[in-house]
Amino acid sequence: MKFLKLKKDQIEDFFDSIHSFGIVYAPVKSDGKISFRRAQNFSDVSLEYTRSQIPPKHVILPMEEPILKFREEEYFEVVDDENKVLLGVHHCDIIAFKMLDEVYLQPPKDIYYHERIKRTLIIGLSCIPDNYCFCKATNSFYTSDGFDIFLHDCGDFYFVRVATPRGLKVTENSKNLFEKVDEKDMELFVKAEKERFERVKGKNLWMIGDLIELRDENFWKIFSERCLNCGNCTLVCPTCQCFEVYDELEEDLKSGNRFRRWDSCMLRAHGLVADGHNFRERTEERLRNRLSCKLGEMRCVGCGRCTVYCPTGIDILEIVRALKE
Amino acid sequence: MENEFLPRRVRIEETKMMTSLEKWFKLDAQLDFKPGQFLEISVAGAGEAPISICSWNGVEICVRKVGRVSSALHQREKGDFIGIRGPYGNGFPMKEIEGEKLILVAGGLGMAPLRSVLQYVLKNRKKYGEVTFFYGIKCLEMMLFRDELLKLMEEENVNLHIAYEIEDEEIRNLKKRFPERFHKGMVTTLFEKVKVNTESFVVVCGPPIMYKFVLKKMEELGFYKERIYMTLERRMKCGTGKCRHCVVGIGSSSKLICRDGPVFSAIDAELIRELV
Repeated sequence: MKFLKLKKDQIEDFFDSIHSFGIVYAPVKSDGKISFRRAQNFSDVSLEYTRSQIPPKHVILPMEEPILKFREEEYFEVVDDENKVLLGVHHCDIIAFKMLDEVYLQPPKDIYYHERIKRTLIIGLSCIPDNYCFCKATNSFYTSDGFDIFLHDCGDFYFVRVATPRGLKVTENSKNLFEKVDEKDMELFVKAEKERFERVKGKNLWMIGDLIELRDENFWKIFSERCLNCGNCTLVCPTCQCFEVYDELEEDLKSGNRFRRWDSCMLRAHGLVADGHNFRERTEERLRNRLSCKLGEMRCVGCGRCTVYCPTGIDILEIVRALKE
Repeated sequence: MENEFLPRRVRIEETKMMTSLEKWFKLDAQLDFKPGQFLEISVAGAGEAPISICSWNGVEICVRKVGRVSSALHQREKGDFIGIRGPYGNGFPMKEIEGEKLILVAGGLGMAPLRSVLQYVLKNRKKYGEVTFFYGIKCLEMMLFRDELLKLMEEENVNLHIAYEIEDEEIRNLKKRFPERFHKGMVTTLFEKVKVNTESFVVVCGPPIMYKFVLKKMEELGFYKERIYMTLERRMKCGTGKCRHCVVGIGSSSKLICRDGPVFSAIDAELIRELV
């Protein structure tokens, strides 16, 4: 790791410099919500934010993407070879990418994910936690890898961590913007991180996996009765990996595209098989499966999005509390 | 880099309607596979579906017309092309079963993957002990691979018994031709009608509901759980453990059917919640 310092009045110049490494995606505010979008001007970017509504996952794993072109039964691959810079990613969302890596890069590798992640420069950013965050419980409060560069907000400067050769190249490209760190900077970095730490509530998830399995239907019904089966919780989840594959024909009815798009285990069709049998027919079964995936298999980074964006206020930590009662 | 999602184009060598719902396809493909593995079958414009290989001598599939992909597939004839990916999944532990007695239990379309086991065993007949085949069908019209199974009844290689629900003239005739081979009832009734060795290995495939009954029956009879294998169905979209449609179980014991299965033992069924 290399440590540097970037004064806040230099951040705009830094932003301008990273465009030479790829198309820049950054947190942009619109309709009061933060989302990761293509950002050309620094004035569009909001670096001080708590959580984006949709996680940055879609930059690497688009909501919908063509994976193949076909003409009759000849198939051709469609691979995105755009170089990207993903700026302003919080610790939890970086750790979520590491979880997605485990799935998508495990053999056989998913080339669509792999091509994008390897062409994407990730610049992390320290966050502003709120009461919905529980990243301490999921061990995703702080990350030491999964990024090229990390910017820690320390008041009037960013304490910068450089983790990869690619990250080093970026900082050396704009050498004049960065300064060496001294003892005082280090102290301010530690102070800022400590303050951030204090803001996240302590939670405990021990034996949650077993409790999810032990609780019966009636337990899950308490929560599933409020569930609208809308799939919002999975849509906003940075670790959700499920996808659907489908074809679309062109007008000649011979050629077309094979797409994949995000799917949700909270939707009824997820567990359906060909003869009409459904392995997770009821909402309570789907809710338990989601909790099992997130907290039983620990594929959760404690970002709080599923709670924040649930239209009926189903709170994942309320379920955790009830599981333990 | 190899793209796992890119189907290989293969020609259909032969087709045959097996029943009013199921069509059989022989594919012009060279494939290294194990009985119990499945393919992702691709029909451009319709999509992909996971389908078991139903053969050992060459690559064949038997497809019930139930959805978009299977309906499109049913329109394909000899000489047409389709796409395939795979094989995927673990397959049946054929090596482990060597030297042992084997019972195959198929219900309905479950015949398809077990035909692959059957052909494998017949090809390596000396390596296996007594082989019993239990096949449950609704009625004779729904019986898959009828001609070859009736031919098997005339031979000594396999002890084949059929359970049926609806009796008709043709079944009555077959009952005369093959005494004690056709029995009215569910596939589990065959365990009552036919003497079986409870030390046998058992391989099972059928509709989801069948596993519960078959496992219960075998537990009553005292079969070894670690010798019972079943192949399970889910809507595997990717076949590579990524799309997660085929997840089963809770928490750390959960499995993906496409990657960890589709073949599981009755021991797995004890440890993985709602596996069957």
